[in-house]
This record gives sequence, C-alpha cells and structure tokens, in this order.
Amino acid sequence: MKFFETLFERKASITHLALIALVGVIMLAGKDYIYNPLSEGANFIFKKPFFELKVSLASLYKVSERNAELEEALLRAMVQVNDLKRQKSENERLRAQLGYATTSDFRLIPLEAYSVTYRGIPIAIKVNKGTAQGLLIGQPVISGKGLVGRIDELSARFATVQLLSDPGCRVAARDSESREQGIVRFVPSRGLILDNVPIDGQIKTGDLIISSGLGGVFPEGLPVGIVEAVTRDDNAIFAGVSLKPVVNLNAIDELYALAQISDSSNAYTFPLAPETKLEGEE
Amino acid sequence: MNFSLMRLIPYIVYLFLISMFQVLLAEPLSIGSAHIALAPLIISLVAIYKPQVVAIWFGAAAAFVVNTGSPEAAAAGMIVAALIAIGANYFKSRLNLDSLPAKVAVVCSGSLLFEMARVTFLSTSEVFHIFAVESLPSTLYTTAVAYMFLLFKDRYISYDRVREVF
Repeated sequence: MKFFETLFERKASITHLALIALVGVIMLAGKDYIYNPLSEGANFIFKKPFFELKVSLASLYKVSERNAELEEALLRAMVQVNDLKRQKSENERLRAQLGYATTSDFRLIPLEAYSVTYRGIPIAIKVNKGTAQGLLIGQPVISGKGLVGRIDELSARFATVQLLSDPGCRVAARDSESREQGIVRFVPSRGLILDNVPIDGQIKTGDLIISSGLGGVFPEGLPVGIVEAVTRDDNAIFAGVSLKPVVNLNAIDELYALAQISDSSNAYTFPLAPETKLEGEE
Repeated sequence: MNFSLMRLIPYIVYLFLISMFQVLLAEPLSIGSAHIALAPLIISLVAIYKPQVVAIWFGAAAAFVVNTGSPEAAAAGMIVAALIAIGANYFKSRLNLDSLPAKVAVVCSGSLLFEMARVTFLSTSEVFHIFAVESLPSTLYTTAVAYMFLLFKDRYISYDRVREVF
C-alpha cells in the first residue's frame, strides 16, 4: 500500500497517464459493453441538447425564410386583389351601362330626355329621337340599371316614353328567384306593385323582379324592381307585392331604346346582369 | 463528498462548453479550412492554471466527449490530451511559466499535438496534405484565439484600459 502511495505522489503524471491508457485499452477491448454505453451516455448528456438546439435553430431559420416567402406572396396577392377589385369595379360599371338580359338581339338607340310630364310623380318623358331614327311604338326604353318604360307616342323626330310610374303602364314580369309571374303596374296609393302573384307563392322580400318576355312588348330579363314587402291576406287570392324600382325615375340620365333587329349578325348581344342592384345598395 | 462534487462543477461546465462549441459554433466560426480547436485550448489552459492530476483527467474526459462514436480515436485522444496536460504542467512547474508568450506557446503546442493525433486517425492517404491545409491553419487560429483570451485573462487588456485610451 505504501508503494502505491509513493508511486502516486512521486510519479503522479506517469501513473495517471498509465491509468488513462489502461482505461483506453479496456474501452477498446470491451467495445460493446463498456465503450458504447459510455459513449451513448456522453452523447446524451453533453451533445444531444445542443444537437436538438441546432435542429430547432435550423427549423426556426427555415420558418423565418418561409415567412418571408409568404409575406412576399401575400404582397403579390394583395396587388392582384387590388387589380381584381379595380377590374370588378370597371366590370360593374360597364355592366350597369349595358347589362341586361335579352333573349333576342337588340341594338341600343341612345335617347336624350328634354322634358318630363308630372302627375305628382314623373309619368312620361319626351325624348329627342323619333321614327326617323328607327323608333317604333312599344319599344322598351332602358337606362343603365333597368327598365324605364316604353315608347308611347311618336313623331318623326320626337317620342314620348311612358314610364313605369304611369298607372297605365303594364309589364309582364316574374320573380328571378322563384320564377313566379305577375304583372307590374303602378298604383298611386301603393306605388309599384307586382300583381296576380298567388298567395301561396315563394316570392320574398329582396327578390329581383325581371321582365318575363310574355306579351312580346318587353324582352325577357330586364330588371324592373326589387321586392320591398310581401303581404298575404288569408281572405285574398293574390299576395300583395310592393316593389322598389331599380331605376330612380326622378333622376334618369342615360336612356336607350331597345330596337330589335332582324339580322342577328350585326346584333349587339349584351349579357345578363342578375346581380343588378338598386342605387346605394351594397 | 459534496465538496468534491462542487469542485467538479467547473470542469463539467467546460465539457458542456466544448460540446456546445463543437456542435453549434465550430462551423460558423471556422475561416476556410481553419477551425478553433477548443478542446486542446481548454485542456492547455486547465493544465496551466490547475493542478496536474486534475488537468490530466479533465483532458481525458474532454477527449472522450469530443471523440464519441470512435473508440480508437477516443482512446488515443484521451492519451494525447493527458500528454498535453502533463506537458503543459511540466513547463509551468519546471520553467516558471508566467509570461504571456510562454503560455501561448504551450497552447499552440497542445493544439498542434491534438490536431496531429486527430489527422493520424483519419486513416486516409492524404494525411500530410490535410495536416498542411487544415491542421496548421487551425493551430494558428486556435493560438490567436488563446492569445486574445490570455490578454484579457492576465489583464493585459481590460475594460478600464480600453476606456483610458478613449
């Protein structure tokens, strides 16, 4: 025992070096039973936390890169959205000018109003075109948003447009949603109404009423009004349907007569505008 | 017993530092093929500032941690690290190792010896080439880092001195 103590004191470095060499030899000899468990333990304690940290940092960096890519994509998408909004607005504006459904081919004859006949409300408008420009009695007259009326009186250079608000004006119409049909007419005490709608019909507030094309005066699909109220009296046969005209008859700017043409190759066919809305409506 | 364990804590922290550097920082801090050999640097510093036996066993443990996965490299690394510790301690006690250049020379020698052992265990035919293009620059890089560290450690550079300059 004394020998080993002396050895450790005087030849400490050599002894410890020898011990380390011995440990090395034992590790090599018992690789599976000694070295591998020790190595795994050392890895688990000293290296694994840092490897995991490294992986986390790498994934964080990737997330950061991905985030930058997505931000760029979002920016591009926002630019596209803005462009699409602009196109939508332009599209809506053009459709408001031209967008009426027609089953036949028509050409537009622009009209300019120069006088309005009132009976409490505007009931007729005199316009600056007549037979010389191809107008005919009964031709539908529209504005940018929907049906305004029809040509009622004609001369060579002038015409009178009977407005929807004239109690004598009748339009065969139907609900664009439920397809139920009726007659649109103006009643001074009730305003614009859709008459002859069965009481058990599916018509409801907010539905768009369009011309049905029946009767041959107005082509099918012209927006006429929006259902404002539906009343159903138990003792009545028909429902009471109040409409709000899609065209503000007190503020008409652009008017067009729809002239049917026989030669469809020169026809201007304009698209259906089912989403035509009232002024100020979202 | 508790007292002994408390004395071990700094060395365990050194081992964690070596592992962290090896896993996380060695690659980002390398310049070309030159990297900082932190294990021989810390072993040399421990040998300079701590008792010999402590330095020998710490060196063995550090070499084992650095070379996990290769039993031959681990065994050889343990012996080389122990030799570095013995050598550094020998110079410290026999040659009165107090000057900064002498300490830097010890770190440089230890680093070079450790790199030589590492390259020898690569078992390729281009040992000398690797030694020339990788080990020597790494040794110089490690020596430079050790020099900077010792400048601060031995207070050749301090915050107050830097402040005095400006």
